[in-house]
Amino acid sequence: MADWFLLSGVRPVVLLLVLMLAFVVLRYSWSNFRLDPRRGQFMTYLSLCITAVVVLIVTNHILLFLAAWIAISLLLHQLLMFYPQRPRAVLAAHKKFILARFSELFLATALVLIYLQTETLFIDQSMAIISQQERGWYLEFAALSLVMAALIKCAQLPLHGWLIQVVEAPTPVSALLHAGIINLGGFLLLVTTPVWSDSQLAVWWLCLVAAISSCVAALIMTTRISIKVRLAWSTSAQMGLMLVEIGLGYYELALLHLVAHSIYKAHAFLSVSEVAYIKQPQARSIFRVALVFIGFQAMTIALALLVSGQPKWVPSALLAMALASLWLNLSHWRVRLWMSGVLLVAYFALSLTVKSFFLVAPQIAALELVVAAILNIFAVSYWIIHHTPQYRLSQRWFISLNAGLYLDEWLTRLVLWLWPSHPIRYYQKRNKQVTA
Amino acid sequence: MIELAKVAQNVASEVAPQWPLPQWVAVNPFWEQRQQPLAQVAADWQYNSGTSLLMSAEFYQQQRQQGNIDPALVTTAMDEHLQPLLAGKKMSPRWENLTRLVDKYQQRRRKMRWHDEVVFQISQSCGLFMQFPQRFQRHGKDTSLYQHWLTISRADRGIETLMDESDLNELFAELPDTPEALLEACRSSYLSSASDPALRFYCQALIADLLGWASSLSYQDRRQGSRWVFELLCIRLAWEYLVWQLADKTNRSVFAKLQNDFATQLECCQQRVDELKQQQQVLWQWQTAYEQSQLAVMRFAAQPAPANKPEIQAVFCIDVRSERFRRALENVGESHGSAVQTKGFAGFFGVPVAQQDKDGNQVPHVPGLLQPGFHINSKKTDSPGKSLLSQLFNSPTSMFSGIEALGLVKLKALLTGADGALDKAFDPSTMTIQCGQQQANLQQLADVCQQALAGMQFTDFAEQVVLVGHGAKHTNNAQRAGLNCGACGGQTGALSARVLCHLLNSSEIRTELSKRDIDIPAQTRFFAALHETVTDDIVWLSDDISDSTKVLFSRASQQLTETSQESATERKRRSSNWAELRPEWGLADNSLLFFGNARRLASDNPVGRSFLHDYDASNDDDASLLTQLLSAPGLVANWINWQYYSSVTAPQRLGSGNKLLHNRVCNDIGVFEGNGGDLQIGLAWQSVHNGEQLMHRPVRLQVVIEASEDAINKALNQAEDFNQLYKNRWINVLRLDERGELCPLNNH
Repeated sequence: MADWFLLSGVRPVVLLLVLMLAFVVLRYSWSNFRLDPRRGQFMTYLSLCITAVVVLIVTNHILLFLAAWIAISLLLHQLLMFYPQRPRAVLAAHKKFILARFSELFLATALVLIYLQTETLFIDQSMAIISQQERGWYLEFAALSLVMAALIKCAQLPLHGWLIQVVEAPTPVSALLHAGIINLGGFLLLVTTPVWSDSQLAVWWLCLVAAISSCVAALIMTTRISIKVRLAWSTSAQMGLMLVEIGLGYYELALLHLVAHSIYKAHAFLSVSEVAYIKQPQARSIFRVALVFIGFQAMTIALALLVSGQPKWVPSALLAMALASLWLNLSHWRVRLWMSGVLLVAYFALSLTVKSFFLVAPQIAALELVVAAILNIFAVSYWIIHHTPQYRLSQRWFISLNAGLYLDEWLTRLVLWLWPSHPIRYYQKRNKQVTA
Repeated sequence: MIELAKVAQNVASEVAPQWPLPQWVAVNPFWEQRQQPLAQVAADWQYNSGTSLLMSAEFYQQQRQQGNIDPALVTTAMDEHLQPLLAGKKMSPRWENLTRLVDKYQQRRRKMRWHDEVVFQISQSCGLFMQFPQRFQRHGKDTSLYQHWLTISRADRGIETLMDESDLNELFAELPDTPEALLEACRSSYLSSASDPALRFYCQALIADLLGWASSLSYQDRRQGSRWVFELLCIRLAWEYLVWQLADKTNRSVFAKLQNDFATQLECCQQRVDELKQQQQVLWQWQTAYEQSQLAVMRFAAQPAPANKPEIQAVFCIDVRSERFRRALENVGESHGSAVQTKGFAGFFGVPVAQQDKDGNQVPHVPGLLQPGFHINSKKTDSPGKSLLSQLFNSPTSMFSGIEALGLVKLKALLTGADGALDKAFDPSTMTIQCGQQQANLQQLADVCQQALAGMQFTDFAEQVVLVGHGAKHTNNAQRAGLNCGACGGQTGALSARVLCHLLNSSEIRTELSKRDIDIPAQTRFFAALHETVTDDIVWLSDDISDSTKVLFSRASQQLTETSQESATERKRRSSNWAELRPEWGLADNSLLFFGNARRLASDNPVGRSFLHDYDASNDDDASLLTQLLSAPGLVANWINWQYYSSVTAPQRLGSGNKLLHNRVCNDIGVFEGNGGDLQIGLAWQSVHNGEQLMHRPVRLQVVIEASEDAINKALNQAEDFNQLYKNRWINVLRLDERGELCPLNNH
């Protein structure tokens, strides 16, 4: 029986994170639903859902893993359908329900293939066998399936719509979903690295989809008008980045990202009703912005080369983006220089301590360059759109982005056609059952 | 025949404003319809959008069974007429907009519903308009909301797909470019045979679909003179026109059905409303009986109890929560042998100030209907680190590495939650008071003090005068302003109390006041305090208060804790729990506004149901003060009362839904419930209901005035707005006579 459970690799950290989130979210919900006649029901579903997540994290058995994966989605469905009288809630839950089945299908395919390849039902054994084996088309197929399962689970474009629309559920559900459950796509990839990390096709696919999705989601986020929807788009973007980091082989960085983002996002959702004003970017000269950005990027690349002998394209681009934004938001020269200096030093000091991140060369050098290019395009588009509202191009981009690039409409239509929702009738039926 | 544009403008002007969240004060949603009889407005709204201004027949039946309605007030006719309503034999007809009519037809079973999507789409474009003013409001108040919407919609490549209607983009392109032209087009096509009343119902029904946005835009229109509510109505109408044309173009059988249904509706609407009005008559009788039964519980003493010369005077807000503290304080004072006199006055203490917040906006600390005359400049208090961090996390270019590197700093906050916040303002000696561009001069400040003291009707001053504002300490509540002081524009009363206190303690002001025959004895000191309404604690804002007074006030707090249902620790926990949706009940169950000597209220009256404003008719020969009271606190109380009332009778449209789903619309203009839909107005269900029963009993405000009949009539004639509310039954006025009886006014 001991073989059935496992606490190695990323598992202890993720388990700790989930337990902490569970504690916070359950305690929060208990107060949130004070005096609510359906408190018991909500707490039950929530606890069951968390239990399933915990099982998924610690299990070593392929079948239990799959069962937990399915159970999470089914229990989450109950939470998303907590107010079945709300048409948009029902629509979003249905969309999620259908997509989750696809994610499960991919996962099941991958797991079956892994079993056929290794003839063991235990994850640690099969991973050990795979890392020593020759790669065949079985594994190639399994790798692609795993990547697909993770991409769907992490709400990457164009299958992201449900994540945005399920803010129709009570706040604690959003907190659990955005800080906990959605990370499981990343977790899945982190515990199955031997299967997919040597497959060029899977890695390219993962990184390209996630990078583009992440950048587009981040751009869309800034055009949205309500706080929860902004947070949801931000989750989609952050998950994309985490998947990119995983794809590029920065596993420690991805784990750090997973944990930090979860904590940030759980807090952001749970305090979502605190009145606060988000400052709008001001109009600026785009050329000055570009100059600052290019300057910082050159500086970070040079520093990375100096320290590790590699340009580290993606982390350098990300850091340069953050430094440029800070620089533009600060008004005093001395504070600017001081802040940038401190951040650069801190960053490289931190990177050196995480040796595996900094000293290991990326597996696919060209891929990293492509992702860095995508990030650059993203940053420049953002600045064009938000600092030059007077241009017609900026206005047109803004409107398209606000509409989510029309990516989700087809899916909504398809879901409605597949599963016509009559929330009101459904609700009446339920009420009748309750009273009877 | 009048023009459609006139009707539309008229309907648009009848939308009451909604303040943005940081200044979210209670509003009577039917304020602009006060010139019409309540029964008529209720029938209109029931018909045009199913919005009820009455409780259901079941509710009254239940109240009667529970003994909450005095059987003596129930006539046999009332009983007879209620039966068919209880049996559900009477259907209440309602107007259906074209989008709703089309949704009903079978062909949309597997498709997105028009009504839902139309509301969502308009709501989102209004959101963009308000959230990104630099981008979409290039011409300020003259920017056309209609054209903004049209631009967005014409660029939209998704909606055609979503609705599965391939002609939609073409129709958008053909829509008229101005609201006027659109109205013209509608009038000459599908509305050509509509009568004037039918047009009015139609416009009301359209605006009711987006009442939340209409209310928020109405706030903007009033401040800057734009006409965005009217344009919103035109946008909604444009969608109707589209749906009509689309049916015409695509589906003959649907179009025939639509034409038929709509024509019937246009023809019968007036008749249906009249029927509804007839039907509701009996419910209004029941409502009146219900209100009278509750009023009967309130008792008033015949003679004002003789008052000793007070040692302490305490001025409170008229808020119903202050009433419970006043009573406790007077009780404690009595049992400790120290005479305490309390007074009720509007919680901004007559000082019309605004203060600059950390983002540079002027936050008014005055009732919604007033404009602040003074501005207070203070040092910025926000820490730069915090705002830098929020920028780092919210800007898409910095959020990736920002959260990766610094997301963990939220760990502590996540584990401990956010503590409650209570704005105590700051020490007034450090601030400058400005009037316009210049520093306020002595005359202006003395004017303010003089008016405030006259309004509070101070005849003599005790040695200690405490000005007690109020505010609620809690956190993570989008509608937190609703629990603070309404008279202070949704802020706490701290700033107002401090400013007046500071002014009245200054010797220069006192010298100036004595020139105007107001002599404040040299030994009299003014102190400022804040009544924290979640825990009923007192927060002292002046530090030189004597210990015995402090003890007195904390005894009063203690007494309130003992009489309340929950323990002190439970209430403390609630004030500092970020997950708490019901930190306190606010102004729930308000029912009475009393202008008179508060000592005439019997001590065993139910607590926390009355607004108390002290008023002494003997000092007000020409009823001018009473006129002021009716037109200022009288209206504020009506707004609060109607906010609660309508949030109970029509929670879907006039309440803001479920707090668990509240989703702030950026820049805090309001909240959505969930993902989108219309902006919400009114109170959340959690604010009026405790999971088992209503915490606010829906009754119209009973205004009790202690004055002569003549004086009241005189004041009513001068206070025009209040009089309209009274005449049209939005509010009830009663006179308290010498014997302690409540008498209805005769000649009204």
